[in-house]
Amino acid sequence: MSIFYRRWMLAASFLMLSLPAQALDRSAAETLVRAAADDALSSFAGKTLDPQTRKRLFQAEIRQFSDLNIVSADILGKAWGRFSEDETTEFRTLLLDYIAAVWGATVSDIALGTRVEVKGVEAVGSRLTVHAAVLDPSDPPTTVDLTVGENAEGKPVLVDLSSDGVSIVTTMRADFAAVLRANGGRAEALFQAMRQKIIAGA
Amino acid sequence: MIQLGRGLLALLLTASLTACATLPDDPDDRAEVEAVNDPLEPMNRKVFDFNTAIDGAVLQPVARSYRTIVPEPVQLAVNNVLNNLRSPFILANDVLQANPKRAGETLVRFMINSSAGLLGIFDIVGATGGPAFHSSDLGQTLGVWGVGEGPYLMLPFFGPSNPRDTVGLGVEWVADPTDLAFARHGLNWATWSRMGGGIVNDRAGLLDPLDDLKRSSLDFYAAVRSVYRQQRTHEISQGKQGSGL
Repeated sequence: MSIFYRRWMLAASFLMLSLPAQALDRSAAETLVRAAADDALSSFAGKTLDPQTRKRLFQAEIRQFSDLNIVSADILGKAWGRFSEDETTEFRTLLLDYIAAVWGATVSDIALGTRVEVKGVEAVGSRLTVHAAVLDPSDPPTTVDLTVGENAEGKPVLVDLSSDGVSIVTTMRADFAAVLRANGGRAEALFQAMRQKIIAGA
Repeated sequence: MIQLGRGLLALLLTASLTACATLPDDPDDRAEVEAVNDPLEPMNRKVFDFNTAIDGAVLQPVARSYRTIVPEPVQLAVNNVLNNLRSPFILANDVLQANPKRAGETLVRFMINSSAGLLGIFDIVGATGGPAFHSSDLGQTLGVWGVGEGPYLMLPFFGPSNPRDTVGLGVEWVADPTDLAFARHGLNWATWSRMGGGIVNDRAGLLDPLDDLKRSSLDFYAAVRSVYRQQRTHEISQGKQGSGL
């Protein structure tokens, strides 16, 4: 085997290793963000919905455009690997209700005429960050960064949202880790705290 | 006197050592606790409870009344004036960060808004598509220079911080160019009015974000700590963009 061939093989291996980082297509990520924004705006902007309908629509958005497995793993970090299968199932179910309970009400504030403009896409590690601006007719523009990852089926999904450098997933990770740490890592203590928030937000 | 000082020092050291969070044995858990960077967590949580009590009893009611009673255009004007009065300090920090773009923006905003904007009441520059207001402080400047944050601190009355930002806060307290100019002209009332107005204005601006964070978190203290550290990291990275350092 010539040295040239070995070098070529080595270069090819590096390219193969870096493929997952390139696998996510920028235009697919942009399309996903536009589709999610259009869907959210048509469901919620300027509408007065009863809490149950709002919760149902909000959860449908999460199921369609995100992936609870990835988000759960990102939020729990190392603790995700320590959970039993039953606990991971329970966490995913609770997480969907929790997000709807604590964040669902914020969608009722979306004003009619609000638009979302994609400003650019940037690769960050193996994921893509879509920079966007939320243009509310009565407020100054807000910039948001949406992180797009790839699920087990290779489909692009939304995995995080940040504004002014503050990420929802990073904040939740710190928050949930503090609860787990204070309770000796017991999953049930975290679930109990989540259930209380879900009841309070229902 | 010296013995009393030594006694106090020993007492403080004992208090801070007993207030330190104990590290877990598991390497993963240990790494996680270290990443949180809050070795004084037990003491910080007590200070946080104290601050939350003061906030609930005094600051929040005042800020909510301010937001309810004062007409929105007046609140906007107050915010604009306070931002404008902070501009000389922001400019100094933009310069210290070797960031000519941001320094230029601050200078242009200050000159136009102070004159055409009637002492900063109107943000003429922002309203006509010019650069928006940005803040800078000495803690951020030290961060841009590469000074580490040190352990997370919850300061009584002032809230989340760290040794680097506390130093910055202390220097701002004594060396803010606007306050120095007020003092030189015997306008101490202006300094106190600015401070009081700033506290109410800042707290009113944080009403919704903090209410949202409290509603959406399981452990409010941990969520505030995370948001503070993320925001500071973001502000320092913004300061570094375009910096010649």
